[in-house]
Amino acid sequence: MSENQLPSYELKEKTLFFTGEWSTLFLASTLLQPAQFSFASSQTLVLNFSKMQRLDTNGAYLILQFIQVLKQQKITCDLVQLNDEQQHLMQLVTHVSAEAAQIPEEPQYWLSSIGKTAIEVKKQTLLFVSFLGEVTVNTWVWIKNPSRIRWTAIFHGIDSTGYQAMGIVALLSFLIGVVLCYQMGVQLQTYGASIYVVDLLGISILREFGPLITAIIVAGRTGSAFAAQIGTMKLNQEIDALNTMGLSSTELLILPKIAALTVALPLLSVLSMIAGVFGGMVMAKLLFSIAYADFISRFGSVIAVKMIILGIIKTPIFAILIATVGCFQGLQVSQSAESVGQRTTVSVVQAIFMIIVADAFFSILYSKLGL
Amino acid sequence: MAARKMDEPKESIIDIKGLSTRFGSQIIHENLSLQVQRGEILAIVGGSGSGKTTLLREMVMLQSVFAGSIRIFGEEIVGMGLADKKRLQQRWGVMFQSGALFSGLTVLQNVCFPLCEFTHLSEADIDAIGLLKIKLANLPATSAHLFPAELSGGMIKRAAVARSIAMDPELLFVDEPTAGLDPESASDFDELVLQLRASLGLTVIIITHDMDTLWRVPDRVAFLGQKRVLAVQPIRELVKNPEPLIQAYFSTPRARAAVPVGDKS
Repeated sequence: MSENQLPSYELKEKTLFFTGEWSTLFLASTLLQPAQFSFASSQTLVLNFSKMQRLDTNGAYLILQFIQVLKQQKITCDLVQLNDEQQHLMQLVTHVSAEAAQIPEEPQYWLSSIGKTAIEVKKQTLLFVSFLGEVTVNTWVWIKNPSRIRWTAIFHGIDSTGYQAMGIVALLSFLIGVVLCYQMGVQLQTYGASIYVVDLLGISILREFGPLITAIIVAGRTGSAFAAQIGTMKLNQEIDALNTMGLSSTELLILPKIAALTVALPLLSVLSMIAGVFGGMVMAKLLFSIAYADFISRFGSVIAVKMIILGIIKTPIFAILIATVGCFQGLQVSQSAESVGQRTTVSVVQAIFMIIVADAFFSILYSKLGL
Repeated sequence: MAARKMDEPKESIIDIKGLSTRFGSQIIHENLSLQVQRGEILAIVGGSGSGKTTLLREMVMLQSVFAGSIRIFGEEIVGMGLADKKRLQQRWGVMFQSGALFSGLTVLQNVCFPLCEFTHLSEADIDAIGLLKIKLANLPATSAHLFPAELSGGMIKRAAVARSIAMDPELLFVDEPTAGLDPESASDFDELVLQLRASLGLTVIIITHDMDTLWRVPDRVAFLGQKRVLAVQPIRELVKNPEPLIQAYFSTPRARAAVPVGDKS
């Protein structure tokens, strides 16, 4: 095979000789511009193809564009010495590009895009409300008829969302305990009140950090998994398949996930509390020389049982938020792989947002109730 | 066009020799050989599991080869370096069975994608060339701004063809083009392949189970069986091949039904 030659041309008097390979990879739009020439108007230009080594449709297109621009300047072109193949390609491209009319894309205005977003938000809100309704109705079906509860799916869900998350939840909570103890202990030490770190650790971890950290980890770990799994099933028409079999995808796929997470998240939160307090205890011993026995005896005397209860009560609510948002976003996937990614992101962002809002709501509620 | 091809000396565009493929202990191909001439349409047939798609994946370098040699455009592709591989891959187009269109891009963006990546053409030229390819693939220009999910099965296949010819390849690999199409779309697709070969001088490798396509489109048919190519013949001769596997394949009622009236014995 001969060396590839870049496409080019030579102008000799009124004849343009094409040279080299006029094939896609070597082409550039700047290759053949009428502006590079100064032709007198209403003259005839001869395009000679005899030295051209190769031509493909994209090369033919560029030459055709050139001819058409020249035509507007009243310069006619004569194509000479084409071989059969080149003749054929030029005809094909001429024929097809005459048909291929440009389809104008819809212009985007910022005002209309605001309107579109607003309509989309309203639609999504309505859909979410109707999704909640569907979940509630299906839950009622389960309550009335417990034999329909999908225990296998629920236990499988507890395993994957709870049991398998124990390591990461325990590790991160332990580290949070270490950090909290260090930050608070250093402040207290200046007043010689290091032992009060036990009170602060106990209350903050049991009431706030344990449930909140767990919920945020689980939203990132499990909420996204729900959205991606259901989204992919939706794309693959598995959801449609279930629904056409007269089965409810909500009952089969979504309720077990919500139920499993509602069981798993409180359990994980307890683990998180234990690991967090343990982390604080280790740090208290290392930094402030508070013996384990002292830590535990003070913990027992100052931390009321209600702290654990107040912390744990929030977690089923968090679990329902994470699971419903994840499943709902999964169901909103449509058409493209891109939308799976987008919906998964939205599910995590919304879940974490709602967890924090709910937590704030609980704080206000507890303070109004004087707890 | 056809006459011009006849004058030229026959040149092998693909030359496979002694190819072996194994998945673990499972042997797919053993000492397989196949030649494809420039400008021809070759169909590859064979029962399920005979390694048709594996062979295609090896030719387009998606699958590594256990032993043997595959030469495409005269270059050995087994053990080829990354730079050479990229250069060579721009010279062929592949149409996957399900279309494999990028779901986040419109039809036009799909077609223009390789052009944007590999050429120095301006955006306006790329769009115009993309539309041209869409028209060449017999898609209406109005479908240019639709997303793959909004297309029918037949349109997806045609959009996939439009994308695979975007770079004006010399060689086109097509996997099961008519699977899942209604008879009319399938027959349109057969016509499209013939038309593209005639107008662009393509060499086409088709994997198919479609008997009507086999009778209408390819110049020669390669039959895969017993881990190798049992025969490469025009379909009229292939159906008379006494090899038992080939006879079993072509003696089913469905295969018989596809035989054109003039060829029925």
